Amino acid sequence: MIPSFGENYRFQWEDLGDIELGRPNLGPQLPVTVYRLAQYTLREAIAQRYGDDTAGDLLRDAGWIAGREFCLHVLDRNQPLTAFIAQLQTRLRDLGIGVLRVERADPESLTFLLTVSEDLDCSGLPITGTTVCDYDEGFFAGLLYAYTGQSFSAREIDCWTTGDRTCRFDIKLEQLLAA
Amino acid sequence: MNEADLRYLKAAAGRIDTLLAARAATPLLPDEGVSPELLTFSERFARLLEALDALRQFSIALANGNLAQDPQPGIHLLDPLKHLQSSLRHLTWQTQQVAAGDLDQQVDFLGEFSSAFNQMIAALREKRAAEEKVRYLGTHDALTGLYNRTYFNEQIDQLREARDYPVSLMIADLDGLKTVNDTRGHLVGDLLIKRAAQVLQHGVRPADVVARIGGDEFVIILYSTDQAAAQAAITQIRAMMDAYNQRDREFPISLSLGTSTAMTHHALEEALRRADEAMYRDKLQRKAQIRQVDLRPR
Repeated sequence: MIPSFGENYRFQWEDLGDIELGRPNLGPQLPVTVYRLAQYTLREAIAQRYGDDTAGDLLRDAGWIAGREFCLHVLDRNQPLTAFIAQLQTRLRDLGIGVLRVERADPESLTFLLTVSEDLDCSGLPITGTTVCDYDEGFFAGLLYAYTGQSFSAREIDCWTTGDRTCRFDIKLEQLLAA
Repeated sequence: MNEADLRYLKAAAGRIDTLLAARAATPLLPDEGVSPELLTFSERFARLLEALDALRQFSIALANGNLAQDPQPGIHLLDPLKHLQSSLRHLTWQTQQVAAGDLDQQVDFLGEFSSAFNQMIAALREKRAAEEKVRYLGTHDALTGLYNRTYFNEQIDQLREARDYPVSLMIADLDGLKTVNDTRGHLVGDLLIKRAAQVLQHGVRPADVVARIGGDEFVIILYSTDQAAAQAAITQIRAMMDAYNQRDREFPISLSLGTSTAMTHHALEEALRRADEAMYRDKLQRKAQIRQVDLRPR
């Protein structure tokens, strides 16, 4: 997926501000509850106005921007795939986003089966029967777009909300899907 | 409780015995006529049998090392095993990366196994570092860090198979090393050898091979270099040497240099011999110049 606006969005990494300067006492961390409060109330407000599907799509688009910007500013894109994944694992763990594991990775066809345990977005959520990590789907697609320059589809197949204990993402090149 | 209820309960008890004996239990549907209370129970019991059967199949697959079998979706009884499968799949991927040479893999969150795996990786890293050190020592000169004669010979062997000619060879000899060793000691002699190595290394391109092949003797392979470019390299080295000597007047160095160019791989040995001769001519010429300077009336 590549959002309809592609790379033409206004957000810049600098928009996150100088946190060290702004929070000399409270620091850069905050509880997961606060993050989820922001994400799920935002989702709810969008869903109330535009419906659940649109809310999911918009969160996916936002995740795509986040993934691309994360790759551009936090990761080294000039590494080979394995080293890139290893660095991604370390960063995601250090930032408390989740524990990334690779179940399958084919560097030729660029298909991946990834899991994220203790996921920031969903771990511990009640079971609803449908996956909820739309933002993560966009995040992986945007991240891999920044690394490879190609369009990826990321689909969550297991989630805490489907009763699983780890999120599992099936990620493929978009061309493969079309073929 | 009617007859149908009793038949159902008997069959259900049989299924439980089968499961406890670790065998596959077939599905169980109640006969017509079971009481409504038992019908509700039988529906749940059927789901439980289905889940236990899926659990049995999945755990057998895992126990046999079959990580490719995806578990039946929607059966949460499988979740812990699914988590284990995920960890094993990730470990498989990590092991493949280690086999491909990536020794940065780290296992977390798997208790004692994590520490064992990480210790193994640390040991492999140490082994690799030791092998690299041995490899380095086998191809490098310990005093100067330049390549040694072994490496030089390997490169010459490779050049015999190569087609990228002309190739020039340069011989360099550090003048007066024996006298310095005898009069000022080997530490000063070693210092001059290191200086000479630096001058030669900085005087040629990074891709050229500079090797120390004897106590005071060096050889340089100048790839894709004709005679004129080789002469330019000599001029460059002399300029570097002069600059060094200007900076350090206490321990100046003097190098005799000679080159020769091979136009084909057949001419390599001959080029090496002629470079050596050219170096000796240079040495004699420089000695004569020094004598002339010494004989000049003061």
